[in-house]
Amino acid sequence: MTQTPSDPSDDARMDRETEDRLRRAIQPRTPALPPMRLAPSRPATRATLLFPLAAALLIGLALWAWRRSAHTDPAKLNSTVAAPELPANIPPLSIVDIVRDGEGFAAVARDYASLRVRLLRTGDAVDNWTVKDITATEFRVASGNTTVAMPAGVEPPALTEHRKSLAAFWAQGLEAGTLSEAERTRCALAAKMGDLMTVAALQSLATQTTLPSREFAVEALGCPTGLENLNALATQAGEGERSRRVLALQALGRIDSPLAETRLRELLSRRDDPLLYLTIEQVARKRDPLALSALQSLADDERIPDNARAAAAAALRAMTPEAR
Amino acid sequence: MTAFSSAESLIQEWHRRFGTRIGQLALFHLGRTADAEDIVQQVFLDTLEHLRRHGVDSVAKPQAYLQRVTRNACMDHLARRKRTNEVADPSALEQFEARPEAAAGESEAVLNATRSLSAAQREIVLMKVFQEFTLEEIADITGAPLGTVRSHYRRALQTLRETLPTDTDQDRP
Repeated sequence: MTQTPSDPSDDARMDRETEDRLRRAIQPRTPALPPMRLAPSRPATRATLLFPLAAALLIGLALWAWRRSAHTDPAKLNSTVAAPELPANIPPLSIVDIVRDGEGFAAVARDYASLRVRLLRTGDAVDNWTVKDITATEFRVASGNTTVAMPAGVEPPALTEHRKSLAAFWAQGLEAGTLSEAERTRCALAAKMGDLMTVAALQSLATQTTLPSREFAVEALGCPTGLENLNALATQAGEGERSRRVLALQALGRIDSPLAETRLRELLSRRDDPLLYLTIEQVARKRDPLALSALQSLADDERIPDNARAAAAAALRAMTPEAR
Repeated sequence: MTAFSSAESLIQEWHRRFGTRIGQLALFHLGRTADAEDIVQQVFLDTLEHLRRHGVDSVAKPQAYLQRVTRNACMDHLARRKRTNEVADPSALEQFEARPEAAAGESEAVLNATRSLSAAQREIVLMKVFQEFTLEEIADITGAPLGTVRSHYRRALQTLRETLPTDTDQDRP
């Protein structure tokens, strides 16, 4: 069990040699950091500085007491969780786009009843409404004796008001910490669906570090800081940037977030981009119905490279089986 | 307002001087570039807030302070990932990479040797060999006793020596 004592100077020399050998052969992976962005729309940072710590503590205590009473007082709880409802005579649909679907047309719509983006065809049902007819410019839906015609991109003003009040309701509930689990899920679904009012409300909450719901907001948005960095990487041009761009595009494709879908959709407009085919593949992977008309146009565009055109056609086939 | 602007200029200066090392540490722990960039941004913003609240002289050893805060932020991030059952991307698990100018065989051998180290040993190797922290500073950053850090490092070097082929076995560049 006895060990021969080694010469400390020998040990030190061997240590130095091993360290040098490591330094010569390998290096730690290093991210290319973007420039420091001071206070990237973090209003809370500056705001909190204006208040002394004691005042912040008092506000926190008051908020805690209020939340506690809201959770325990059934009357208050009910008044807090009642989400605004859309009048029954307004279809819960916002038509984003009308696309070719075989011989006829289909509509890409945000469905505020199920909170998801849907590809609607004649005969489909949405809540109490039935799709009656879709032409190149107009979408008609009926419920009982009421028929409503909706052009693509124009939604009923009542629906806009409803969306506005719904987003405000969710934001207030999240800020106060009183939003029920069911409403949190609906809020996250609305963001995922790409409802810009909800996304804007969540973005504002996500930057306020003092809020307990900040994490929820960031998760619902899919981590905006990382996304914007990825987007910057995915779009930068230059020698030797290809491999980084490929990785960034693939990462955007993997992230489950409406912002990632939006960024990828925007990238579809870069028709001279040699990585357009890869962008298209990521859009197809997300099965983003809002990108259908852009994909259709790419599949028909003979000026873009063959690989991109083929990718667009494949994406369309995968996303709309009837379009085969 | 003077305190704000000097805190801001100080943080910009620290970002310039220490950002790369902080990024290396974040990427070492998190594996994904986007996550590492997020954490670095967050760490510098939190530090800026700290400087504004407690004064620009409140951080005596900025590099060690930033390193410690980054490490803690990474641990929190990893715990969150675990809670949400996020699956790690296997390609993101490599913590070191070959130096472009080194001979491929030698880099591969050294990379293989580092894989035989424990996570704690690899972290200490990162900070001691590549970031040039002293063992005392590493103990301060990781919160581990100095003796533990010293013995981890000693064992790491010993393992590397035993695992690595002798220099003469390798092709020279």
